[in-house]
Amino acid sequence: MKIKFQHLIISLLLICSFSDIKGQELDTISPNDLFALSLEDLMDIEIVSAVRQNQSIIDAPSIVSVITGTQIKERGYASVAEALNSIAGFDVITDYFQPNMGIRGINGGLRSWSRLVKVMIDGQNMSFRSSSDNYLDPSLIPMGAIEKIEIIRGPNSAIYGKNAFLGVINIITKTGDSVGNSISHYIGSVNNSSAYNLSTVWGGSKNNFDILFSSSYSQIDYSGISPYNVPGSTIYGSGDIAQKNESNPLAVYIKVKYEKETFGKLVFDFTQQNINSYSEFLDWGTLTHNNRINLFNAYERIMYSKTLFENFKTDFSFTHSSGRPIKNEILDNDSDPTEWIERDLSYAGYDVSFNTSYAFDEINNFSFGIDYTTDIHDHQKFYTVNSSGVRTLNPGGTEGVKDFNNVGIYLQMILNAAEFFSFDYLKNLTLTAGYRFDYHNIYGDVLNYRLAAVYHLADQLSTKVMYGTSFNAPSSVQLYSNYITPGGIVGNPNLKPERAKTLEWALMGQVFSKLNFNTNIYYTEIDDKIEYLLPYGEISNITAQNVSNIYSAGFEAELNINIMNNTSYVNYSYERSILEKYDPLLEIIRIKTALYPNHMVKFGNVLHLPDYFININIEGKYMSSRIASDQNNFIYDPINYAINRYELDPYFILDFMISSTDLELIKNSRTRLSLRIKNLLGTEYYYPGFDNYDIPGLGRSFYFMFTQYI
Amino acid sequence: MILFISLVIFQLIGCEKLNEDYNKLIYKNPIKIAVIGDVSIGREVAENIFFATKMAADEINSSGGLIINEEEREIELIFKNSGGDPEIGIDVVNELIDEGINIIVGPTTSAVAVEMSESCVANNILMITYSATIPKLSYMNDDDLIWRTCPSDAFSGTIMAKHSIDSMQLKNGAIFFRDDNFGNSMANIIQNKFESLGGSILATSSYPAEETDLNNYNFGNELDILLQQKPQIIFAAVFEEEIGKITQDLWASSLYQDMESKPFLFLTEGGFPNELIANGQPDILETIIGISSSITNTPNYITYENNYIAKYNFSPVTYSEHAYDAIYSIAFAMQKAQSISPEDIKQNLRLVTGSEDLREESAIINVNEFEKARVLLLTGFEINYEGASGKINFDINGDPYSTFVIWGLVNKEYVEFSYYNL
Repeated sequence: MKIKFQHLIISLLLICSFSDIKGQELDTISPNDLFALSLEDLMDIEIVSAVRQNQSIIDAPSIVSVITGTQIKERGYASVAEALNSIAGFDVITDYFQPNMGIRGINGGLRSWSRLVKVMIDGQNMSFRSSSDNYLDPSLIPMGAIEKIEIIRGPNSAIYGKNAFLGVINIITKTGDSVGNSISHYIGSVNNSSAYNLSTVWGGSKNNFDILFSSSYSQIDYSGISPYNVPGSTIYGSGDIAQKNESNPLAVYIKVKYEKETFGKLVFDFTQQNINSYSEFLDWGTLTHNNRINLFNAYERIMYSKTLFENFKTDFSFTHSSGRPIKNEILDNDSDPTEWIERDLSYAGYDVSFNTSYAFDEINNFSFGIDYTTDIHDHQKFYTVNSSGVRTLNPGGTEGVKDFNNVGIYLQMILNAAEFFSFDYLKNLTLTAGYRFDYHNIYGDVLNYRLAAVYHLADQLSTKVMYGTSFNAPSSVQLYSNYITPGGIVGNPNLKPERAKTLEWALMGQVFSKLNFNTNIYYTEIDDKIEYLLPYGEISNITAQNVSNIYSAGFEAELNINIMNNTSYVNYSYERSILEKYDPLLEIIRIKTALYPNHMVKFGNVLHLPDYFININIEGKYMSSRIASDQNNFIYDPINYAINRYELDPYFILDFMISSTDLELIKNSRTRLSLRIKNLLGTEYYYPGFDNYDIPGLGRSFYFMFTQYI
Repeated sequence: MILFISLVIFQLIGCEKLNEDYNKLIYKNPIKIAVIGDVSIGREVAENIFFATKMAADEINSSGGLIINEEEREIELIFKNSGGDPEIGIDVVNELIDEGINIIVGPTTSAVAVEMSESCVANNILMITYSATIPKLSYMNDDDLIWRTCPSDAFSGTIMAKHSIDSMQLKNGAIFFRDDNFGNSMANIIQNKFESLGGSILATSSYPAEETDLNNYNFGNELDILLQQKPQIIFAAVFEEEIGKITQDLWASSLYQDMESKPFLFLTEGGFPNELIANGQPDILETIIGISSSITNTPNYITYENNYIAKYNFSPVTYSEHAYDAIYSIAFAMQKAQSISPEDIKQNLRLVTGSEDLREESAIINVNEFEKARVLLLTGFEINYEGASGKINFDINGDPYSTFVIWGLVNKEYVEFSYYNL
């Protein structure tokens, strides 16, 4: 609660400080403006994430989807995870501690919270570096600060280095002069328990300064749900109910920019996420009613960019990141109140990067960058604490090097052969080549590269072929952690990075003015996949190991339609991922990857009724069946669990939202009201669990939101 | 259309890699042997036992298999889980009867073995357990169908008592045990032997072994019952699964902390060292000793261990060598008998593993020498299999020659202190 008051006070101070700054009343793209946007305009939305410089989606040498801030508002997304779950090729499951996002047929599995992708805010890595997890719940960033989310499926280590493994999520923030100053508040009923949120966004510009402040605090109670037994098991009965499953995420994002043509652009930004979750569905402490994971994760960054001379741009940034548990964290693995678990864990990260680019003309350019990162880790150590406060270090794990140092150098060339070499017959072809070398003091040298060709078949139609490599580095927790309870997960200091190589082909464009599409097929091979494995050796502890290879292929299609007063999307993903591994009894086997559905269909439609000042949004998702976790399949069939596995049922979920536009409840000021009903049909469904049970999805939930623009 | 093209391309680029393959193995004229483990309650032990039996079967099959009545035959293992539950064990026996399998290697635990053995005898099924150590199995009216390749607790309990009093000069003891067949039986043996040698058992205490999550169980109360009496040594009839938590709760006890001279913890099993190093409370590791039937410094064990590591890339666990020897013993008996019936196997098991009558004239067969043994047996010679666990020499009760080691941990390294033969 102390933090909550602090951020409210900061909000009030900022309002006072900048009360004379003229704020804009609308977002960068207002709902009405968006409706006015043609699909052709939407195809021309510029993105920066594919090659670290502005390009239109149709030109970008990657499979890119974009969710705009306006779409976030119209669809009522309360977190980045919710927004991503509307995109083809992404599947978000949860344990009510954090969302766990899988991508293209692959989920990170046990204790992996969305660590298969790199998540950035304006290009800055935002993972919790001790574990490389990405916490995508409302604590990541206030949703009102988001200009757009650029979503790249496929490898990007050739530019971004480690952890840009199977995708990159880059959250682009608004500028101060583009936000509508507002306070939002929602109250809701989640599965008959309460939900509450207070969000603020303030910004403005004066002279050459631009300032943005945003914050969000939520309190969501996921209690009242019960573990779902593995088929054939009766461990959990009707009386086993989550009693304390509350989540209190807090997000703060602040950005100050000074920009002048002669000076260049100087930006300072700060983001802080607090995860404060009573987690009842963790693998090591289910329904103990006394787990409270409380983590702090933040960065402060200063960036300076300037065009030194014509066509030669440079930018420099320095970032300090830090993360740790907050004092009142309690990890409780049983119902015994006389002892519990605490942990020591922290990191301090320092990133320095320098990038340059020289543009020969509008298309052809050359980029070079160098970056250095040092992460100073206090590796995860769990302690058993008794009622007298005596802390005893739990065994397991190993001491490791505390400083993780990485230096990376990348080169990138974008080349239109026709313009560069005067080959007119290739005038519609643009080639991109990228190469990056990383040296890390723990796991050594890693080379990554990327080649792409984009060919314009017509003005608004392009086809792309891309090939690239990527890697995911083992984290401090995976390497060195001791265990929470005997038999629990311990680190493995011998882990190597996971490596991937991906071949993609895409066709995208506009069929006619009311419809655009984006289709692709891909094939990915992953070597040395890291998994938390049931052990085969002499001890019972689960450890992370490089044990398997994955071969994954899939097809993804997205359609955006703009007809009458409707803005619609529909997408379909088919993923076939095969895991190849050694099983001592069966030898080399190939089996479908667990946890991920083969088929997903997602759709949404916003019906704009300007005469009635309302928008009506409906979104649906169909998820086909998915194979349960290895851990649960061991319970299901302790002998043949590698090949005799049960599946979680397919499900269909429908969400509904009705929201107002431009109500003038207070004179000269806009008000927005909305009612959102999630899981309108009350579908029963389950997410994969990792400890003798699967995790129930939420039933019908209601949210009433009030936003006041000032 | 695009989806169709995609599927065609997938087929072209990775046809084989994108298809599931369970690597179903085909056996030549298979002889089916069931290997039963209590996987649900001790996965790391039971699975490694499966792996050891698979290694034995693979070695036998790759050396040409058995030749019975001039027909080449290979061993196919059927793995089953008895779940640490006697009722499940009996269900498994019934399943095997339905599947026409009448040779069993297993199960893991004494509680299951006792119940299963009765069912096996009733149905003329040959059973060789590799780790059920309860003495009761030795004295059953079993029609010679129940065997084991691990020594009986009657022997290990005697040695534990003798070692404590004679070698360690500790006469005040306590007993901590699982409340199941194995734990109760072991507690009785140790108490009787210890007291008969002049020692005194000051207290005993047990904990629930069934339907309890022993990784998260608080053993504090049960341990304090013993610690109040200030024993010099605590005999612990416990399993690997719970040993880590037991050591932590022992360390957390204020009674333990207040004791000037910390009691030794004497474990009745051998499979603990790595589990203790990984999950045990580090400060008390050097007060722990144990007894084991795995003698790891013999040439045959070293060969077995090296082959195991080469095949699986991790080390074998205690009792896996007994399971490995069970498969070989059965295979040799079948080869000698030229038959796969339990009736013929039981009559030949002693003859191929060091029968007193034939010992002088038998050729010693070591680990992974099936081909040599087959040639000898087919040409009328006698063999004496000395396995990974050492001499087998089955006695009249179907128990093996028993060798024990007293082990401990020094600087987190496994150390063998002394050896005993019976």
